[in-house]
Amino acid sequence: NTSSSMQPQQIQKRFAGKNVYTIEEVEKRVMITLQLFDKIDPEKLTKDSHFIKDLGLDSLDQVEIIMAMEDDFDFEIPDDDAERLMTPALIIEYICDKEDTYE
Amino acid sequence: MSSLEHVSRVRLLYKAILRLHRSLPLEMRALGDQYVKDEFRRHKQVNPAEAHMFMQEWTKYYLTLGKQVTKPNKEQHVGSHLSGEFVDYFNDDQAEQLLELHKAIKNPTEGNGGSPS
Repeated sequence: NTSSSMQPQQIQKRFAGKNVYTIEEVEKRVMITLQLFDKIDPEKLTKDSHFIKDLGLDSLDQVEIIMAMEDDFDFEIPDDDAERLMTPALIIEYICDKEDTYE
Repeated sequence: MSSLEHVSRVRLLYKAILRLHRSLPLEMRALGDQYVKDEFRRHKQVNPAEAHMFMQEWTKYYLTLGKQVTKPNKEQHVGSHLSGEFVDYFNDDQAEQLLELHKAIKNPTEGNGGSPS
């Protein structure tokens, strides 16, 4: 676990006015945002939980989750893409793909 | 209209309305967001004709509010008046409720909306 050793210089670096994240940071932010979503039971939440099948949410809840991610990472996710982001892992993968992440 | 397409359209409208509410004053936004969230969920199981009307009316809402919030601040006015024709559709309970609401707005000191204080 590297998270404690990287704490001091704290979260995101900025590059050319844009946030740059490590994959771990993306993961952490996504999971924290989801834990704070009032309809999600944090106990049941894993990276692979399906929002609808495992967590009992509906597709409107999932829209709200995607909006929270857009706010958090400050970019828009088109609905065609958003519709298939049904697990935290898929969201993390998608954000890492779109954002500049570094190892 | 396949049902999959319908779900996508509902999602899009839902998101667009919540986005638009961000331009509203804070209290209005909180009230509006909650109302939209509840209404969309209350109508999850309706029949196709009702769903169609639901989408039509909320699209109108979206377009009206969209025009209103993009006006410069001074001219900003949110909402629209109910037409008499529209009020004719109300049943007695709804009409009474509307009247109560009207009274509560006009005389906020009286009655406190019926809650014991």
